Amino acid sequence: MQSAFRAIERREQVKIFYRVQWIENKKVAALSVSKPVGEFFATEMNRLRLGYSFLYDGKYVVVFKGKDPRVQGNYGVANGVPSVQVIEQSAQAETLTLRGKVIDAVSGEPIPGATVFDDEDQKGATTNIEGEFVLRLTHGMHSIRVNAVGRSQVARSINLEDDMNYDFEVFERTTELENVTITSEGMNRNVASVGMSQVKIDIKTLKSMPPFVGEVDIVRGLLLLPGVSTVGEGSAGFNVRGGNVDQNLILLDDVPLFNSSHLFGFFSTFNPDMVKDVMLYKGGMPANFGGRISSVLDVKLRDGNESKFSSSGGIGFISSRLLIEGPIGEKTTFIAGGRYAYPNWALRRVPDLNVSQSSTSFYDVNFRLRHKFNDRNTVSLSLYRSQDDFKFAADTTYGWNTTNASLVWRTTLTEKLVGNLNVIYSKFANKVTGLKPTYEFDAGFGIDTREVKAELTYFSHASNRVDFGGSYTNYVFNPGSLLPGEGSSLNPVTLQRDYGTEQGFYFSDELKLNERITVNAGIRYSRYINFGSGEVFLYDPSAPMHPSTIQDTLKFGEGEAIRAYDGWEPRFSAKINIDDQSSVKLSFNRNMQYLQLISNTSAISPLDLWKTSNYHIKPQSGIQVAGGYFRNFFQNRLESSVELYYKRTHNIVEYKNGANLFLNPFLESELLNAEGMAYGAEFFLRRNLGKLTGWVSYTYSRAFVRTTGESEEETINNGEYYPSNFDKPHNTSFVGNYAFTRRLSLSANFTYSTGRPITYPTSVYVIDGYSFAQFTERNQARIPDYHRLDLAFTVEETLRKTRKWKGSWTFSIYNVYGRKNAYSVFFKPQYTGSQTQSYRLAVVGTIFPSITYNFRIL
Amino acid sequence: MKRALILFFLIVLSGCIDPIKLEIDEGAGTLVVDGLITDQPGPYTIKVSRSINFDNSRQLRVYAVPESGAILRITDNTGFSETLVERKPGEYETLALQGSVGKSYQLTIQTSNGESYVSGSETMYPAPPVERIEQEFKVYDRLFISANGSPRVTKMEGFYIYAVVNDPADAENFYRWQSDGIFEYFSITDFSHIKQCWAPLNRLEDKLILADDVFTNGQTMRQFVCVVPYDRPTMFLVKLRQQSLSREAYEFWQRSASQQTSTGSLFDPPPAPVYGNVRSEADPNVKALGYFGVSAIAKFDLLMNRFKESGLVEPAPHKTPKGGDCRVHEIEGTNIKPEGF
Repeated sequence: MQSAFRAIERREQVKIFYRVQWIENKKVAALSVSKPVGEFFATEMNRLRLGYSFLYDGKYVVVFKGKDPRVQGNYGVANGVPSVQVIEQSAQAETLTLRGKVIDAVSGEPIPGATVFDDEDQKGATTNIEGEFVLRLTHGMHSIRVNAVGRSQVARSINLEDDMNYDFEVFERTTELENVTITSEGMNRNVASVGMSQVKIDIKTLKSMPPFVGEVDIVRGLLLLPGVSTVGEGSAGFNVRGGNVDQNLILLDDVPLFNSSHLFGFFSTFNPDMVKDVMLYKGGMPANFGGRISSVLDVKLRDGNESKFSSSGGIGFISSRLLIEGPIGEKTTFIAGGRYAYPNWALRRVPDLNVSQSSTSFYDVNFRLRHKFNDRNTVSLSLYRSQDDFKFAADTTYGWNTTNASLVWRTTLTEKLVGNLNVIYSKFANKVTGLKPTYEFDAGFGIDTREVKAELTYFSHASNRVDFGGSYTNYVFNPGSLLPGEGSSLNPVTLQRDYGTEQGFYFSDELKLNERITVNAGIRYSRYINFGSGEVFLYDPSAPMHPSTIQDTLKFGEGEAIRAYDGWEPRFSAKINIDDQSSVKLSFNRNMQYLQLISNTSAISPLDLWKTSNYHIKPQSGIQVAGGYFRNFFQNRLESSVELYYKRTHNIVEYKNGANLFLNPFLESELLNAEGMAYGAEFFLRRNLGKLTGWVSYTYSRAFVRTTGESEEETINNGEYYPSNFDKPHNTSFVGNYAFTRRLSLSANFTYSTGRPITYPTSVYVIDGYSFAQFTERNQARIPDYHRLDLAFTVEETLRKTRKWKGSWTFSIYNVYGRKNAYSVFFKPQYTGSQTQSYRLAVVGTIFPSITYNFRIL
Repeated sequence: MKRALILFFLIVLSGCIDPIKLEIDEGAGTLVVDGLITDQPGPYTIKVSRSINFDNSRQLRVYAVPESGAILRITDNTGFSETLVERKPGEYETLALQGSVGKSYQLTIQTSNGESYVSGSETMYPAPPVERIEQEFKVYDRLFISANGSPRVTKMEGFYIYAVVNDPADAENFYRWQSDGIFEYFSITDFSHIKQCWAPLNRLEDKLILADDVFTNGQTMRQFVCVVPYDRPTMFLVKLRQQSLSREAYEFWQRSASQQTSTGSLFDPPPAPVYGNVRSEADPNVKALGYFGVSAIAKFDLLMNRFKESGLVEPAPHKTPKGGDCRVHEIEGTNIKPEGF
């Protein structure tokens, strides 16, 4: 033990005071020396029935006799001998308030979601988005432990004599000692929190995953989680628990995104350097989220460094990144980051005129400014712009862009009441320009939203939390226009704009009934109005909708309501602890959705159209029931969970066979009303501590669709349930990161899933000399199974804290064994008149190695 | 609209298209109707067959089973009616029927096993005239999917042919274009042999060429119809036929055409059943494949001097003439000057 103490003193630059006779001939449990000091003392001293205390920011450790004593007083350190008074446990029940912040010691950024736990009173709190926490504690000495994702644990002794402010600084674990023990957020959050079907990934984990062509990508990382899937490699968006891509609410700093992909879906529009963390709600959505029925992806951006200017960036094959951040004065910080992609050099090398004359590029820029008026009021401004351009051969150019802005005011109204007010603007637009002689045109679609949102949280007492608030959103949909160029033989087309407003109000209460049971019950009420000006076609109700069955046209004036919808959205979740290490959770939620992406292809593209619910298109709704068993092992080092869910969705949009969706004023006549059903079981095992971290997951899930039309034209597969495009029953993934040394780490991903459903031809026939295949039932066959292994090595150039420039190299290999995974199976004749052939197309059908250099300048 | 993206995907990201063997044993035996009544002189042929299993492991190219012994009858809206005569197995010909614009026609089929099918009533719409044909000489890349499935790009020279049509503003119009050609060629020979010949080149374009006037109503349309290969510096006769289609026929061909352009990209719409206008009389849910079509036809021929039009200084490269009687060098070669030359 003595030698262990000496080792710790050397390594940690601390001084430990103790009496030799207390620890003579006492052995240290193996391994525990390599733990952080806090944990070492917590386990070892407890075992030896000794007390201890950290003093002066942990620079001194005082060891004393007797289990669980209270330490108090003036720590005279005269002559290296502490005078320690051991007193009886205070009988005082007076509660005092300890409030403060958890901040990153290097960047000065606040750390939300950190747990602050007092060992004495056995009470804890989680920091809010500003890194703030409030603890109500008894008078006297307290041993406070702070845990945050990716940070080493911090333990402090605090003598609470009055209400007090205390800020905790935590270090990133890489700047820590060797063989750090990684502590995850809230250690036992998996088991102890009431929320289920939620996965939080910190950006560090995402960054350690093997990137595709050197690009760290959030959506690609999400696809490795249970319950998240995609129709195919490189397709935009993701599917959560059998939901469509447009049923995900994607929030970038609280601003909804209507397109989350660059380059048709190969990359997502989140700059990884800007991202703080990513939270995915697959179910059990809190009541403050609304508007989409499948999931919420909440991407939070970082605040700028509060203490000094710094910069970071990366250089890759396809794109480069640069970020700068720092303080402006004492109360303001800024952070600005951008990415630019230059894949054209690669296209030039393709020996095909169509491709070598094509060009593409994209960029995205984030800017965030935060001003702290005082301890209670903060305002932040967030701006975002992303743009993609794509020119195919010499005849068509495509472009799409997103412009977002948000202003957030966070305030602590009283000790118990905190809130935020957001003003949000989000715009998505795409544009197609035809350059073909005599067919020149400009066509564009878009969606414009403006939103005001207020959210309040009231901590009525330690075991009860109330959330309430509301939002008001205004939408303008531009369903498209076509403007012919000069000399073009095309006629101009302008479809009428659609207007809508959405209002939502919510209230929820999280109540800790007793030590074991916590419930969160909430309700959201949403209301949507589609209003004019506009025209609505009335179709013959006895026949399928078709331009030829229009009987009348309704005209609506400006601001006049065309159709209003509303819905109640109950949200409920409960947690029952079985013991410290395990719990059972249940949840139920209903969600409404008043807008949809119109796309009849297997994968969505950024050229698809967002359409409002209107006179003919009813709002989508979905309910989900889920239950799960959560268990942690080895002091929360290993988390595991099993979740079961069942989902029903109504009024989802399907398409008539051969639907024409491009600039169609009779769009509703091409759409079908459908309902969905999905169920599944998700198994998840995650290790957050040690040299090897990562997770293993297995999911069994099914997703079906059924059209509910009356006539044959209005149904698919005779109105029976058929597998959805992304119904992939078996799904397994492994994500691992192994740190050999502090500078060298290896990460690996493996993923396997059943092939997605496709429609196979049942027979072939010939007409007019052409051979065709006959397709009947949709999605009754599958493409071959998908599996892939990726590897990445990361080498840090230096670990010294004093170095201004810190670089790292990432060498990665995507699709290590070069499997030609089927992206699709399709059917076409090899040449005119020949028999229809079946082909397998693999998109990333080869090994993709890449190198990226990342740097930080402090 | 997304077609460009698809091609982009195919070329840049794949290089990995493999044929796969599939054998699907269901759905065969559906009745297939393939026929067209036009405003040109008859007789008109209606082909009736049955679909066969999808089985690409079989090398033998049999893709239609002729349906013999059926009774086909065409009736028009004036009360004229005629029973067709089976000339070859599964091929039925009209006798006196002469199609004309404005009339509507209906086909009934009684198969030898007693099934009755009936088509919808198809009206013949007028075909607006082809104003002129324009051509552009181009060096272009052509993407071939070779037998093993890998895409191969070949540089080719040829003339892009465009039909220029003044679309009538007073009606919705649907078009289909088909083009055939006749080329002139020579042999290197003495006077003992025939050295100037002509031979047909049918179906200059592999794909269905269709258009509607949704975005171009009342405008002058310039539609790509085919490519004339520049393989010899000789004369070439383009024989263009422009068909008028009903909306239903257009939608049928449009859906069929989507099979030809499928690339396997996820931006393709899902494959869907393509049924035409022929259904079982007893059960309207039993549908035949194919289409009983009625079209007016506008013809336009263009004789072009390929060397002159190419603007090239030298005619090379091209197929070099062979020796001897030129008639045997090409399929259906003839020394009788075809009409139009």
